[in-house]
Amino acid sequence: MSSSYDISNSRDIYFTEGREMLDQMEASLLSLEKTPGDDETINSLFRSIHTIKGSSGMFGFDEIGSFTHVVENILDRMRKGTLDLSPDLSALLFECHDFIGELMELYEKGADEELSQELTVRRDELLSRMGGYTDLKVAAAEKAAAAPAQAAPGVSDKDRVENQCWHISLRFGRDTFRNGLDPNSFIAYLREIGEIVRITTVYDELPESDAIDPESCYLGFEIDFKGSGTVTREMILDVFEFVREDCTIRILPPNSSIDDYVALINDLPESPMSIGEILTKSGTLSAQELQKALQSQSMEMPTGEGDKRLLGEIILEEGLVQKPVLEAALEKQKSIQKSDERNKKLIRVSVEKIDRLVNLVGELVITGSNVKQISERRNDSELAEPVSTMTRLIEDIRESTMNIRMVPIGETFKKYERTVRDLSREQGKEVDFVISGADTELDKTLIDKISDPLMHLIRNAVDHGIDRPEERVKRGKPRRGTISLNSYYETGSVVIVEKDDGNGLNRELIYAKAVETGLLQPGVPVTDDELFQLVFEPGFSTAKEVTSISGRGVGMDVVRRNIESLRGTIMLDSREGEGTTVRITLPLTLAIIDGFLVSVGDDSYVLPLDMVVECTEVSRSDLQSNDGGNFINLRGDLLPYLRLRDFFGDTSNYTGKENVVVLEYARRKVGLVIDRPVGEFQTVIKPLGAIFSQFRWVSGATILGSGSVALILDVPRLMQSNGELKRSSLNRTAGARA
Amino acid sequence: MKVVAKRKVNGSGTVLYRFEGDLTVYTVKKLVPALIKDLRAHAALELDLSGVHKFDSAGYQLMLLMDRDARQDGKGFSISGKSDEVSRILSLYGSEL
Repeated sequence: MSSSYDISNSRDIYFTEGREMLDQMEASLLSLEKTPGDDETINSLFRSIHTIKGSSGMFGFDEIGSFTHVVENILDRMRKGTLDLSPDLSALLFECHDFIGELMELYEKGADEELSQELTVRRDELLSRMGGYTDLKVAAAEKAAAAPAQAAPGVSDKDRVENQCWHISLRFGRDTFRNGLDPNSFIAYLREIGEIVRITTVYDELPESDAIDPESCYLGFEIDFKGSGTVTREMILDVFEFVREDCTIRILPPNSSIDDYVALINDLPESPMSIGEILTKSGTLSAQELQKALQSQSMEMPTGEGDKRLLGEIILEEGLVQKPVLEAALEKQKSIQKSDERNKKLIRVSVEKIDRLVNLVGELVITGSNVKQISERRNDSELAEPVSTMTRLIEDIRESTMNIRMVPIGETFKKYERTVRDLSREQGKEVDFVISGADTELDKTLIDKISDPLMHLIRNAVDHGIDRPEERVKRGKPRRGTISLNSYYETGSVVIVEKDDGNGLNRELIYAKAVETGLLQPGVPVTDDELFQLVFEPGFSTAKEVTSISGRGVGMDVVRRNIESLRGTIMLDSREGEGTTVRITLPLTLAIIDGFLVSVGDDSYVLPLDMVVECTEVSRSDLQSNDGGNFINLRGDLLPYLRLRDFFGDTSNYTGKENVVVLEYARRKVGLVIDRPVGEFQTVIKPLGAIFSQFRWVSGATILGSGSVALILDVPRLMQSNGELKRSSLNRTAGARA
Repeated sequence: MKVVAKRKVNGSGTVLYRFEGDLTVYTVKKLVPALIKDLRAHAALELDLSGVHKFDSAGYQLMLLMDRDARQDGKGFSISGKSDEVSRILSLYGSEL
């Protein structure tokens, strides 16, 4: 273990947590726009920025620290109810949020470099705008409110000490060093909010040298501190927030009464004389004041037990005086505990470790399948039983492993809320954003890859989809538009539906554009489905005006390409004037699938088991009776089918009965005619090299127990190919007739 | 994370140490026994910290320990050289060492 590793590791944690805090801040701000003045949300808002400030100070990210400090001041006023969240302020806080995010990015790049000219300008601009919310009037009012807390009531001036400084007594816990904390970082941080007038190290606790454990911390400090500007007790406590558990902190405000010092002296673990000496030596108390303090103490001393009672009373008195502060501190501690509890239930694991595990499990699945096949071939009943147990266990392991990677999609959805808000304001539209199915879990890799395409669709929905409020009213729709995101499971895949109740696609316009660009022949009838798919063609845009966000015709094709690279499909449904619905269907996971092994001639193929609905025998006559139609009658339903034998051009002789596997994907059913089904088969998708890239209907390959290779068929692509095949065969017939 | 200690005893019975590396919570443990032994066996201890890169509160605590023990036993203890980092920490703590 090297120390540089330690630091970079905790730096990583800083950035991860910092981002989480920023997300929390954004969520709080959004929720405050809906329910203004909600105390709990304001508190959470405050906590998020407060935590960023605290940890930035620890890592020496001064720019973030000082900037968040100003933001925190404003939020503190909101929390105290002296400032309301106006729309302007809300917008300002959003900008601050973004700015802090950029600062973090800057620091994360490892640069402790200077801010760029542009960032400096933005920072100053934000600071000056925030200055408007910290005007003198408010500051003065606050000072007045803070004053009674500082001066204990009912104590005459002559009982107060001369000292104008805060007095801070710190006693660090034995484990401070072991917990990776160093008192000097907190002292250095304290210096940022004021001046350390005097500091004395107290090390009376340091044991005899024979008994010392040099890795334990025996240090304490007595500090006299003068805040720059208004410093509250809370602000001082905040400095030590990260060492709270390892440190006893006692704070006396400036000009505290002698009684308070008596209480402090009694309270500290060291002997009263030695503390008294430290306090006078360092000038915290004058010799006379100490005399007085020790006198009053010794006067009460003789009663023995009474001493303890009195001590309690003094603390209680102090407690009463500082009650609001105490309560705030307690509440804060509670919230810290709460987040600690949450953290304990989660561990952060690097993605690489999980990827490695997934790979190994993948290999295990393949090997397991091989063993199973061999054992089946041998027909060895003694072997069969442990093999079947092993297969079940492997299946469980596979499932649990894949589950590790599953993350609820809700977090990703929430990110778009801000996008919708910002964009709709920019364009003077009113839009509600509704999320459902946030709990649906999806492979983390998939979520990462789907996040950008979704963002694009949502921007599109706001920009092109939702109509202006006036137009909406004219059309008899509610003034506010709605964009909804929903996700749910469906036959082995996850469906994400993005829906708006806006303009809808203009069928004529798309048709005209398609004819104009040569994508369609004029006069050829085309279904809605086929027509809308054209929207995904590269360079296709019907937007009359190009806005900053969309309309350049770049994007939808990228969206489709991204989704197809995940073995997913995207479909569009729209009614003019009523809205547009985009359905994205994605496989649950990328790497391992439950397969259904079938054979055609000498070759084996794997189909995703999730999509298999049924498997049934068909007679030749059923297939041959529909000349060129490629449909069979399945219990009265018309089922389009593809004969794999024909598709692969397999001419080997096969006289047995043929079977049809009915597959369902994206609500479409299709039949695959095969020779015979072999059975269920767990498999890992091994990607094929670039040579095979032209065979789009193959998603990969896998190795069978016999050592031969089976192709894994990509059913959605195969269906498309089937469509093309149908069309091309129609064309052929048409061509032959002509 | 590493520290190299060079030790020398001069004619007047002072043990001189020069440290190269870090004086932190990671390194203090192995230094303590030798330092305590030398302080007991000799008249004075002089530490040259000008080659110290990292110096934390555990290092500072070690200095306090040596200083206290020396005073208790009537021995001498001094720091003859300080690197910038050592000076920074000592002045942060307002130490007169």
